[in-house]
Amino acid sequence: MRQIIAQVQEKIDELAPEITRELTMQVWAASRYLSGSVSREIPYEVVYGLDLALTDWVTSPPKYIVTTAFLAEMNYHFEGVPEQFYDLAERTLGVRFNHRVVQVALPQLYKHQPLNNSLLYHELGHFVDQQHGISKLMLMMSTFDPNTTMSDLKIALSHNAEYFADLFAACYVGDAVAVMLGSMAPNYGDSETHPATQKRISVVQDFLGDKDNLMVQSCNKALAVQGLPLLSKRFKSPDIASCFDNVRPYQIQSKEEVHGLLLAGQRYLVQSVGNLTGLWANVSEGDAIRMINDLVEKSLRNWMVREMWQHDRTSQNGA
Amino acid sequence: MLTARSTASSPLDIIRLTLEMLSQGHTVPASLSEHFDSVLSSAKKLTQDPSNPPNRTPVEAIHLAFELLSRQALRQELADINGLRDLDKNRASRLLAEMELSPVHP
Repeated sequence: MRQIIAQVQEKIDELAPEITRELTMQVWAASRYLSGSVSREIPYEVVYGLDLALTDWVTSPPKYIVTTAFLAEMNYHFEGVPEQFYDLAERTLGVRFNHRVVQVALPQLYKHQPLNNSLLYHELGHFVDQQHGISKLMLMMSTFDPNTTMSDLKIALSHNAEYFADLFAACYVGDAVAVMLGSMAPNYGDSETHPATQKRISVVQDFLGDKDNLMVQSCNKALAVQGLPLLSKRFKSPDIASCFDNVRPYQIQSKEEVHGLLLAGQRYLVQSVGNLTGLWANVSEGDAIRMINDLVEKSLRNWMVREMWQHDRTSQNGA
Repeated sequence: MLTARSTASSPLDIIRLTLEMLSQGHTVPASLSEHFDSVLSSAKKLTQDPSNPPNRTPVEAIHLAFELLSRQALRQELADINGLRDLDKNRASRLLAEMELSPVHP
């Protein structure tokens, strides 16, 4: 970014004013993903899972730098510096970036509640959609009626984007996304921006139950055109009961379990709260929710440490 | 997004920027001119048979094709345009105004 600013200042007399203005505005926009980020309080465990999922959709450089921000509201986003910025910088200044900056934002109150953050996979789905134009392709590949009003098109497009993001999330956290939707937007009907919650849940359940579903087919057709992986279950929900019953972290066995642990943890939480027995018998519900989230975090952290350890050993042996 | 949210940037920002430069009478660098021609060509190909898009269509072309399919006035304005060389200052202004009318997000 500093290089862009320096080059714009240096070439201010050569560059057309429109280019200077556009680059300046884009640097301002980009700065919010950097300056608004927290580095000492990052929920590394949650970001790790998203980063891992992102690698399924990015097969070649550039690499992504994921920053984090906390929101004082019940909302999430996963968005980054627009691709056009990098493109414009290279075309007009010859500056090539090796990395892309994306920012994950989540409610401050949920920073240590990974089970409430599984919806970030939904946001990652929107990001992948925007990078590849999936929801627009879906609409164009279906029967495209040129007489459709702009208003109806916008609604159809928004609904496609939401269905895609839900299905994307279901690839990683399975039914957890449907449970979260049912809990956060219960009985919500169709709106201009979002399909009815029940319709969304139904599409996710069809996908997870391997039932034919037109929306799933539509997403997959668009993904195939763009050379991307098709929707598939990329998680494995581990059996965590024997560990969590004894208030011990679970030892994750694979990257599929990294994602699946959020589903397993959510199920464990739902089953346990209101029915606390054994070592949990004297724990309050509030403490149980916090402790189960802690166990999920610790399980993820242990896996991350083991992976880093293994990576270091492999690097040393290869050196 | 779980809730509605607007975004300041558009996937067609570079196309808009190129048209703006032309409409202001500024020289468009070759790198932007070539980019404009390439996106326009891919978008037009896509609009010919949207149900059967070419593989790995650039994302900007998808967005422009969508604009073309959904807005007749824009489609007509670009019908005989095959590249930036076919545009003059006035047509670039008209196109820009047409594109600014109702961008469809996301």
